[in-house]
Amino acid sequence: MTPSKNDEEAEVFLDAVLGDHSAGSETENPELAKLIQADSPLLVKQIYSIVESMKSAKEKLMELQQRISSNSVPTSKGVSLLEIKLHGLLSYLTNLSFFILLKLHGQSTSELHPSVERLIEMRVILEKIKPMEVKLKYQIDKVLKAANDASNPSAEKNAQRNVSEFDLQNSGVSDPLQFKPNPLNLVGASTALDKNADQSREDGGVYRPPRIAPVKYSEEPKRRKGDLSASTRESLSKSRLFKDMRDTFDTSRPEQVTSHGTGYGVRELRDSKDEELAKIEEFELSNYQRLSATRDRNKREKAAMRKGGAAGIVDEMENLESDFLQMDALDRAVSFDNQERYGSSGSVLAKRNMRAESFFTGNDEPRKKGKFTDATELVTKVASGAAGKKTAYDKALRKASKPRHRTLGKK
Amino acid sequence: MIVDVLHPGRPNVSHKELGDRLAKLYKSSEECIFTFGFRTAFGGGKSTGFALIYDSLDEAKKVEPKYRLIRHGIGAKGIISSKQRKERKNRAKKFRGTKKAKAATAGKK
Repeated sequence: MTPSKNDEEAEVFLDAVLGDHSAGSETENPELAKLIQADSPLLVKQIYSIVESMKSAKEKLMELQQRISSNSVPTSKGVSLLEIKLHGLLSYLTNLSFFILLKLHGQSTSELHPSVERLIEMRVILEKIKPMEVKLKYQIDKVLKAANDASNPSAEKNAQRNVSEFDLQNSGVSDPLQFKPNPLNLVGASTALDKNADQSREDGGVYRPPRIAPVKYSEEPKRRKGDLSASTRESLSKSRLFKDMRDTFDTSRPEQVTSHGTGYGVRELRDSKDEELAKIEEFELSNYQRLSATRDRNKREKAAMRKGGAAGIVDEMENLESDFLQMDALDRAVSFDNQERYGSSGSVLAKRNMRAESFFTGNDEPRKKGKFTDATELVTKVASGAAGKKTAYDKALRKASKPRHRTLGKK
Repeated sequence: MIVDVLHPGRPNVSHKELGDRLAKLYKSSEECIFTFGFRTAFGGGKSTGFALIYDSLDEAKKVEPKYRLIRHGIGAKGIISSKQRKERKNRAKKFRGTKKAKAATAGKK
């Protein structure tokens, strides 16, 4: 189809369409006319493609008809699943095309036309067939493979690999319709014999896993090596060991104690007991039911009481492991910082040597600035996690440090 | 809804009084108000609990659990004394199926 012919036909089509309306409509909706003009060549192309595909389908159908009439395709032993699927799809397609025809003619499809009923019926059938198909998939694949192997002469392939008949029988290749599992296939007889398998593979023998399901990609902000992530900062600000450190080093800040046990005070610092109680309260209020103390909760409370829990004494040695694990990240950050400042070893000796050097040579050049100048700064920086900012002391600090507008002294 | 009651200087408030107050507040009748789950905070003076207000007593009877209806005075209690319950059970052991119910009530007489 030459493009000029398409344009001619488009014009003819346009005239036909626009000529159907009354004479005044051309001036009434020029936009509509423009739209139609733009779309009509496309429509003509589509119609032609439909006609061509129908022709090819018709040819295939004639062929199939001949084969059936010459009894080369057996259809006598009842209806199999695959046949149902074929007939179902065919019926679906015919009904669908009829439905499209109805729509094109502008007939309303709100009342249930028998073709629509048929469509629904076929859809239901196809959906019901699907799980059965899944179950049969293995067998169908095996049969197809057998057919393919039969069509391609496989004797040549085996001769290349110098595989004996005995091996063939054992591997089950000669009888591909066998559905039982074949342990010899696990070893991969072909790769053992074919020594160039690794190099012939595209990625040079490296295993690349198949990409089946999409996995979410979370773009993390670029972290430098010695940085502490927000989660580590959070967990550190909660750990007891770190709190002790903060009390020792950050002397400008008052020591903070939980108000657990008293009925007063905003519960800013929460320990595990507070968290537990808060959880229970939340559940009770949202679900409108009171929880009674369970047996294991009572047991735990009794055990804690027996160990001196009434006075709030906690055995330090019990939680030492978890505390040190939490501090591990901090330790890494500090050591990386030291390495940056004092050379690759980052040890105390290197630091002393550097200091001594600068003292003797009289160089007062500014040392490489690390992230933490001293322990206090380290502690305050790390404690700037969410748990460290909520306390009243921090809030007051922030308020005091915020610059205030001065209305006095205006001139 | 959640109800916070402030009662300084006195022990916690009874269900009846709570029902009266809530009826006044929400302009309904006391028979449709069910209160439960009241816990007094440590130190006294404040208790927190739950209250449910229904449109009519029939709806309440359909929805509420039996123990709350009994507290209100509507529900039927059944036999409480354990001795009588055990006697009833032993009388019913001799039969199977619907005859059990008949036996339990018949033997009592």
